[in-house]
Amino acid sequence: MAEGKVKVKPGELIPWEVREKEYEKILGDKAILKQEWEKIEVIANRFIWAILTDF
Amino acid sequence: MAEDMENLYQERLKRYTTAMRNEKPDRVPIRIFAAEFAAKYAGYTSQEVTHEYDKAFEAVRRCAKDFSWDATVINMVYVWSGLVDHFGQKYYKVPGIELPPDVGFQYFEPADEEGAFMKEDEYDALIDSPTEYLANIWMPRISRNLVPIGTPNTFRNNMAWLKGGISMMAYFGACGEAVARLKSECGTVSAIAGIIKAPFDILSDKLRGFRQVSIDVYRQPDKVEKACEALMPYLLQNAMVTSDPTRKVPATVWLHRGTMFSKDMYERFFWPTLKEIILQLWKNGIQTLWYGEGSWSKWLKYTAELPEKSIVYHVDKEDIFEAHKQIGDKFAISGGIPNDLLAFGTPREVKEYCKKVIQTVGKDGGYIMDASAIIQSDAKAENMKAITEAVLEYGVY
Repeated sequence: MAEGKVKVKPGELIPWEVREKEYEKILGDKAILKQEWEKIEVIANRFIWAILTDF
Repeated sequence: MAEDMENLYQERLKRYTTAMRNEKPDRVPIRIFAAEFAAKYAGYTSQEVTHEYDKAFEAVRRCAKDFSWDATVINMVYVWSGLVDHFGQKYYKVPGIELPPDVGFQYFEPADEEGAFMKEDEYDALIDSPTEYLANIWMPRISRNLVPIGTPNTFRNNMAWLKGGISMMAYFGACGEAVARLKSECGTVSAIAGIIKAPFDILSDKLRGFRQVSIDVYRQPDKVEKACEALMPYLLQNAMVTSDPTRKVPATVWLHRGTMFSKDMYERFFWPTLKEIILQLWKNGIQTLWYGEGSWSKWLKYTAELPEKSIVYHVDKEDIFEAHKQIGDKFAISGGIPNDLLAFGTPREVKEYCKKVIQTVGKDGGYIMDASAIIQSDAKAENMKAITEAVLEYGVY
């Protein structure tokens, strides 16, 4: 199951909640990190589901 | 883009979307799904268009221009075998490798429990976390390159993940360019965006396999039902992210297995989760193209439960005139021109049949001209030309 026991929801692979806890500290804007993390999550997640539904 | 091409595109887009909303456009739109036919027409082998996607795109552009299609799909040979080669899916037979270069690609489903990509005791793992199940268990089974979790890693495994991802990005990027060129060079609309699979279909196609799922519905029906429910939100999300952001063209549900089960099974396993996906998409402004392969007439009463205009009902093997009588007031209808007529009939016969469909099903609008099924290499070019001629002659309102 997902690292940190967080259920992998639709559109996610490694949820932001899991990644967030891994930073020792965030000195800048956390929202920027979250936004970019989730942007790639959607694309990578699509790879998994596209193999199932498209290819 | 040239102004005249932009105008042509806008005219076709309006015609196509008006018909899909079950309204009356200026004439019946021609929306063709052509796979190996496009290759043959453009002078390519199946191997060429399956493995070199630029040739597939070019073949479709050539057809769109020559046959004046209002809308089409940039590449209906949907499995790019380059990606298959890099990632290593075992379930395809590819032209030029396992098949002669002029034969279309084939999907081979495991015929027994031993070969099944999802085992009979793995329902709980799938239900618990579908994405993790796919990545950790299913993918290593369907790829000849991946190794299962818990076994020693390999260079080949790592490269398959890398090359699979890069291949998909390259292909989808090229698809975007092909959509733009279809518009700028042909004035033709990219007909669909967004892929939907019914949860039960995907369970019986690529996960358990048809024979295995046919046993499961008796031996572990609760698990089958829960698996469909678990898959539903993930397949909905997959449809949402691949759909048209402008909400003009529909997402497509390619329906396979629903007609092969009893009423009770359809009601329990197939319909509830498929219905929910279509309802959720419609709630988000996304229309669904209901592409029922085979004859779906026996389930029309369920389909009719869907909100007005939420789907375009595509007709393959069933009686298009009967389907129109039953649900034509609620949904637009597409297709219904038999593929065997396109392969073995004469242009005169094709034209007559198209005329009949246009003058009955398309009498008040809400009809989109297309063959019954995706067009393979057996269709004759003169019969494809006859479709266009029939629409231009009889389909103007």
